Amino acid sequence: MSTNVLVIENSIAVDLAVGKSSIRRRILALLMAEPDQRLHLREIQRRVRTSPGTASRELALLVAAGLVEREAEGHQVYFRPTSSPFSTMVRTLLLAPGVQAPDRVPNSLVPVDATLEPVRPPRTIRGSAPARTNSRRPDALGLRVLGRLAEVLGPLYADRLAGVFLYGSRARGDAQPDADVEIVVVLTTIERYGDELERTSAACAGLSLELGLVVSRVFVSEAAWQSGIDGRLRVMRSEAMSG
Amino acid sequence: MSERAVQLVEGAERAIASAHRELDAEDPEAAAERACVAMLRLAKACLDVDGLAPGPTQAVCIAYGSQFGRSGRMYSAYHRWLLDAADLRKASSGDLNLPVDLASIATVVERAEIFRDAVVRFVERNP
Repeated sequence: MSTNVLVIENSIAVDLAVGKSSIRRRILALLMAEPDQRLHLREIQRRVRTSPGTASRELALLVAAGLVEREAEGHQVYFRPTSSPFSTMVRTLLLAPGVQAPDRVPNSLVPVDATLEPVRPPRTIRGSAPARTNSRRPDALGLRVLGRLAEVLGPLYADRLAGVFLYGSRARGDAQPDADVEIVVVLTTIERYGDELERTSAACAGLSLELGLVVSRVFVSEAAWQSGIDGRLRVMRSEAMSG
Repeated sequence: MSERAVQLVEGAERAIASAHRELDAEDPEAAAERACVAMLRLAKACLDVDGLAPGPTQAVCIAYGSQFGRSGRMYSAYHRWLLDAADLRKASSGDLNLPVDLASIATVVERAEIFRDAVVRFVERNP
């Protein structure tokens, strides 16, 4: 009984604090679930499954309300919860475990990614992928391409190669037949991005022609991969499969 | 040259000019995006000769590879350049925010200009 009263009180308080917009609540819940992380606009938009315009508009309202702060870095803009007492209070209302009553707490209060395990740094990056975060089986074709590329990249990069992983829909096991094969190449250092593309260009184009698909790759430094600060890199790490 | 091919080549020209402006403004994300768009429009102009009109990036890359990647009708490296431009765009996007340098993007823009010249010759030979 007391829990129900608390839930009702919290629902009203959250309504008063952030309004009734479900998208706004989902954005806030996403940000407040990981208050030490900052997220890029597109990452937020993707994770709450809304349009960029809506995400931008709702974020502007949250910034104006003092619940979220905006940080520009170069051409990128990131968002994170403020550390104000008001923000802390709203976070408590949104995410307090004692108020989880399914019939009263809207789904919009649960972070979209709440069902995912937290992304942890791999124990060792070389030769292994981070722990899987879902039980779906990776795509056989994706793994075959990964193996073929790893054979080429090993001698090509030698000690600079820290890891080669499959990510995206083929790693998750939910790929359409013509989906790209998405590969992340982790290197100890990346001096010039275009040079890495050029080194691997023939191998990727050859596989693309052979398979009638697009074999796509990105290069990530070992330091960035291990720190996993940026939102999309964290998602890639959670999906990553080694051969 | 078909009307559609003309439009695509003109669109590629505009994208190349825009990519140069974005390079001058030191905006890697926008420059890489415009350079990739230029490459895609040029690939579509080639495919138009074969009566093909794929839409999404992935479909254009696959169709261009299938029609021109190994056929000898166009220099085979253009297929590589197309895929590299798409990957550079992905790397430069705010989603990933990888450290893509402007010089790497400038290379893609130069390649788009070389590709444009080749495509104009190709579509004029194959109206």
